[in-house]
Amino acid sequence: MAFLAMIYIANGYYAHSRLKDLDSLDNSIGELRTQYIIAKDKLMYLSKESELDKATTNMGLKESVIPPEKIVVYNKSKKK
Amino acid sequence: MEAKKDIVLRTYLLYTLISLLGIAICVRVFYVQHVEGVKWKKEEAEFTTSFRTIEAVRGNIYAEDGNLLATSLPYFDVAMDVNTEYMTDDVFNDNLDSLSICLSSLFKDKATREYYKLLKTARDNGERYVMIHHSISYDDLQKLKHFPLIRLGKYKGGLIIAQNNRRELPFQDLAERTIGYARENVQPVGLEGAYDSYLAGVNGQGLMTKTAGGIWVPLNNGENLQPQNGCDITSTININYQDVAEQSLRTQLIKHHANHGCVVLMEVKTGRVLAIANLTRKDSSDTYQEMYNYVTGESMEPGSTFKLFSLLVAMEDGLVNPTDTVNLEGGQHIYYDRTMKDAEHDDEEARSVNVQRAFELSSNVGISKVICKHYASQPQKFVDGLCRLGINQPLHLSIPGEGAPMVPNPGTNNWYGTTLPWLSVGYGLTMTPLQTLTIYNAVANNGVMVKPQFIDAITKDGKLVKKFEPIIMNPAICSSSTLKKLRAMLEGVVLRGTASNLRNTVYAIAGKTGTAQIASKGQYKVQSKANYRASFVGYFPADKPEYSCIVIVNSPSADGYYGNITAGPIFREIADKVYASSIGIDPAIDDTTRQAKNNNLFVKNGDADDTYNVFKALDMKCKSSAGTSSWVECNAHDSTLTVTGCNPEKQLQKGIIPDLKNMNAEDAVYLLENAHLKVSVKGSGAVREQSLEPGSSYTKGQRITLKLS
Repeated sequence: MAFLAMIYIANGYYAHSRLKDLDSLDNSIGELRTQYIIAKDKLMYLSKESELDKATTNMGLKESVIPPEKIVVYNKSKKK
Repeated sequence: MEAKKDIVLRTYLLYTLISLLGIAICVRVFYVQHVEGVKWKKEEAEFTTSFRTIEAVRGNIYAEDGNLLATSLPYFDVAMDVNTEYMTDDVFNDNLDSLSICLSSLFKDKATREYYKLLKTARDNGERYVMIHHSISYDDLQKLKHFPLIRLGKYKGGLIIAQNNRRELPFQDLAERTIGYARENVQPVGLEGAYDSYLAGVNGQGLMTKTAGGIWVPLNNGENLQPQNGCDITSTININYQDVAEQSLRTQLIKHHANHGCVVLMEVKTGRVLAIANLTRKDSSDTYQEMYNYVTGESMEPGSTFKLFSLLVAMEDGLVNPTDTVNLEGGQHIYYDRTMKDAEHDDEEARSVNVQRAFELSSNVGISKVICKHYASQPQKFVDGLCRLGINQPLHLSIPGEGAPMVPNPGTNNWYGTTLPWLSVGYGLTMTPLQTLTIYNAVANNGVMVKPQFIDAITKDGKLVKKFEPIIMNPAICSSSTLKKLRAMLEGVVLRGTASNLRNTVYAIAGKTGTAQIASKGQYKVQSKANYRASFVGYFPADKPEYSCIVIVNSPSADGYYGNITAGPIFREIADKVYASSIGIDPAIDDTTRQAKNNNLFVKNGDADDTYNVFKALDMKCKSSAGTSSWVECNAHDSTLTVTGCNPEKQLQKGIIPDLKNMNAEDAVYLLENAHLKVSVKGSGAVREQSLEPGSSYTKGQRITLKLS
């Protein structure tokens, strides 16, 4: 009986500590997600064309206004 | 015996006492459990369990290409408990100075001294809650956590954090007004406002119990309501186009010191709005902000861009042809008590021209005379024709706050003799820029009028909830013959008319300029430049329209005010950019260019089978005299290929170095190494030079250097 009681109590403590872990992991997920969104947010803003343009003018890079030439491959075997 | 009796007596006494104590405890336990029990249990439940709201996460708004336009980010209200049990006087005083300096330098809202005083007084007064700063960002919070005193931890440092979610626009003011917001007790704005019911989600509620350590755990009794997170919205906005639109609009507004301006870029076939920018000048400075959605909200007199609709109606009624002649009378004509004037006087042209030319020159006199000639006696027919285009009805857009159009009606009190001529050139009626664009877009779209759309799809957890297909408002705004004439006129405006500064060689633009006077209190002041509204609306490429666009610059007060020089360049810049980045838009290089490139053909010498395989794959024909030779030399001349056989292998076997010129490196190295020569290769391409002359003899293990280019 005493043994069972001990197991019961130990189990209770164990379960409780798992809940605690879960909670702290939940918190860190939230925090990491926030960090992710903030980092992504900054990256997106910086990778916007006008920002890129600002950053690369010193390097002598300019935007092209001439449309690119394309290579179109007609696959004759698949074409009916 | 006495002694024994005494002991027994004492034992009994002790036994009775202890038993009584035991019984008393049992009675008390019983009393607490069963008599007072109900009360205590209730109190316990109140303390450790409660209904708690589980907040639903609001959905995101995405751009067409998956970039985030709006999302929810946590912000933090930070406060301090300056009288925690573990915060001793020593600790507090040691850190107070440096903490004040840090706080002041991070938030920059109060001086160091002020923070010092704030915290010091709070400590002296025994306060346990001092507000440090409202809604600081996550980044700032991380910095704050490392400040002196605060970094000592939760109990010693006394930091109190409350988290709130706030909407964040990663691209800041890009399309800010169109993305909009939804707040309690405030008129909803933009997409956030229009699709609030989808974005918001449903908050959940659950019975939770508090366990040791302050963690709330849900009680599973089936009554829990799971929160429903909000749906995500994918808008039609393309971040790159939006960026260009906004940048060039801003640059031009600053250049002309205009009051406000707007731009919309639309996909012709679907009506999807790819870029929408609205900028308003702040005070008298050169900073411009998104403050009002002019595109959808501002119903105003369209001016010259309206001439297209007048001629559309007249041609559709079969009354006017682009080839009809009209006398421009030197750019001035008197209707009743008012004088109609043309913006520019060009003496040579100011006489008799055809309607097409009058349109290209944007002559008020010309267009109004043509319309009045045919409709002065039947104005209702003209107005009815305009209403068939739908300009008297709002577009019923999904985003709130659409401006209502106003079209005058003959027979009412405010229809005068001058109403018709001025109406024909875009005065005396109002419509929104988006309405104007919608009809120009219909002209570009072979007469099919599609509704402007801001939303592409609504998704939830990546699954499609609702897809927005193009909505056809009017399958044909006019006959195809009228359409053809209209498009020729619009192309003429750019080719030789008022917008010839937009002409370029790469692709053709079709469109119409507008320079409208702005009425203030019913009066048009001609003197000041600031009373003009410059616009340009059109589509490109003119022959196969893909995109339509309207640009409006309101009250330009520096460096010109005509539509072609203020609004036109914005259109051109956007069009250039869109054209350059659209893969499908550019026509294929025609055969003559391809032939020209064929003339520069160069084929390396090498293995026969490989060479034939390459020819076969590229569908190239060649004249071959090589027979069964396993090595070939190739010559290209006037786009004919001649292949002749050769045998470098045999020469090597005889101990003679062959001529390797123009051979590909792989085959050359194969040949030479098979003959036990040591090969070193420089450069890339075909063999240009060889260190051992052709025809010379060699010994095994000798080194040969090949130069490629």
